[in-house]
Amino acid sequence: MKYVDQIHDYKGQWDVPSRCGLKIVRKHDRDIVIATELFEENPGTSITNVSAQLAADIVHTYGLDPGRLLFIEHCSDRGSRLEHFRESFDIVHLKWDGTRFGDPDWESISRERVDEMIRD
Amino acid sequence: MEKTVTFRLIYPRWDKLPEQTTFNLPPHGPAVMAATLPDYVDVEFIDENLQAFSYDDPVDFVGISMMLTTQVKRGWTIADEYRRRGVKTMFGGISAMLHAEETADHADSVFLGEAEGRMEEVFNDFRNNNLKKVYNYLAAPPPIEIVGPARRSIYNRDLYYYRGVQMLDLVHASRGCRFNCYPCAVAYLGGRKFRPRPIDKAIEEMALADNNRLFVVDNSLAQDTRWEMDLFREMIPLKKNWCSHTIEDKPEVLDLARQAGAWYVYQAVFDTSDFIKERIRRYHDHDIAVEGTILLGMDNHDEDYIKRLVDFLLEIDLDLAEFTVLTPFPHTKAYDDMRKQKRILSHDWNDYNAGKVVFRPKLMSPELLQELYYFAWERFYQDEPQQYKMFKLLKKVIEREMASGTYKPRRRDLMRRAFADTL
Ligand code: SF4
Repeated sequence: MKYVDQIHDYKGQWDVPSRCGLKIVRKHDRDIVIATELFEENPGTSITNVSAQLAADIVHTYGLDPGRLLFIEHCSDRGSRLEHFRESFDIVHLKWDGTRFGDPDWESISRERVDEMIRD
Repeated sequence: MEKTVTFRLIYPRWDKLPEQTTFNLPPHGPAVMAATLPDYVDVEFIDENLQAFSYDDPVDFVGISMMLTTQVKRGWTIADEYRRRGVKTMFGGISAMLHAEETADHADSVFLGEAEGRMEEVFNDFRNNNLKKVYNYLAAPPPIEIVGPARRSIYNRDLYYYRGVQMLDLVHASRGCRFNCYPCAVAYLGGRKFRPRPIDKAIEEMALADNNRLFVVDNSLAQDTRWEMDLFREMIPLKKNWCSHTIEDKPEVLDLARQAGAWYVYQAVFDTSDFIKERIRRYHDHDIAVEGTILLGMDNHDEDYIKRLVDFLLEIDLDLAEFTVLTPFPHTKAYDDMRKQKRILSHDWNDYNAGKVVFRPKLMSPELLQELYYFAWERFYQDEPQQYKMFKLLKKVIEREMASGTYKPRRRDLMRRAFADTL
């Protein structure tokens, strides 16, 4: 698998069925995973609320190496007048303890930087 | 004969915002839950905002129903004391779901989801001393058709009068919400799917409420025009007056809403646009009053913006305004964003009363936002105080009721009593 671009179903908090957009781009030195919040199309927990569990689920499902993971959260522009609903990207820094991810810490980044990262 | 279970259902108290005139309405959640209890359960309801209770009273089982984040710490304290005394406790309600993990630390059981069709199992488990730590029905809402009328007989009715005037009764005609607004957790709580009740069930519920004035507490009635119009059409013969959250502002919907007794609607006002101005005008043209709900502290708000917004509210002649500060309640996008950006200043849930700044605003200091919040309340009600504006709304409904022959005079025996006197 070099490239994934699809809807990903996951279990949210309290096992509520949830879904996000998912892009995986495998580069020589890392696997870039971009999870997109689907808002109304996500019946369950937001990606931010379960970022560590979601990252673990994706790593497990797609057989990725946790040490190579670069996990990015994406919220698309919702065409709202409120600036909270503009497009945003955040790198989620996660600690891997050998079995699970924890301690998420978000770093906001620009779309240009994301484009640069995933460019061939 | 089955042995009766004495179940005390408590609605914990919280500190009201001093800026707002305090009205205590009969809480809806506990009455909806009580309607789902098996026959052998003898339920006693305590609204702690209005009633005191003693831990010494004999009870078999305690339920704590919480709607607001500002109730959770009090709810936990109550449960801790009951559990110390060996009485089992169960939590349910909106804020029990929003704060489920923390709540589980204080509970024998936490119920997540909607109660219909589930209480047989829970009470059976209780009787068999086999209560589960978590009943998780978040992803499995009951069929909306089985939702019956709330059990309002649990209320001590006399408590819900203010100087002899009966407070509104709460009813709901639908659950869920297809929208996903920034500060709101309803998508997580009620599911992202709009689930209208069958119209006859909703109408039955409204008819049964022994009150001419209702608060239709649905998240938003503006989700399905045909259903909304059918509902309003069926409401006309009830001759009740009601308030609700947003309704659609198409003329044909507003016409029906007005005939159905629309008294006032809550409308979020988030900017000074013509869109909002026109919307308010359309409501007013249909003789429907508007209480603006104004959220302060959004990322595009600075001092100037907020001051202009308050002037705008006066200009568009809102009937009432309720100001709150943006509060990042768990399971909202606001919470996710603030957490990502490390802008949350307090996790003391007692502070999450929507009147206290608990995050760092983008374009001003927390202190300035707090000041502007007080400023907004003062400025809006400077020329015409809140009590007077409310009186005008009350007058409007009395006139309508007089005209339709549904007016019930104030209760003389309760004329001298405001809410706090009952404690
Ligand atoms: S604020 Fe109202 S309309 Fe918006 S998501 Fe919440 S309940 Fe729905």
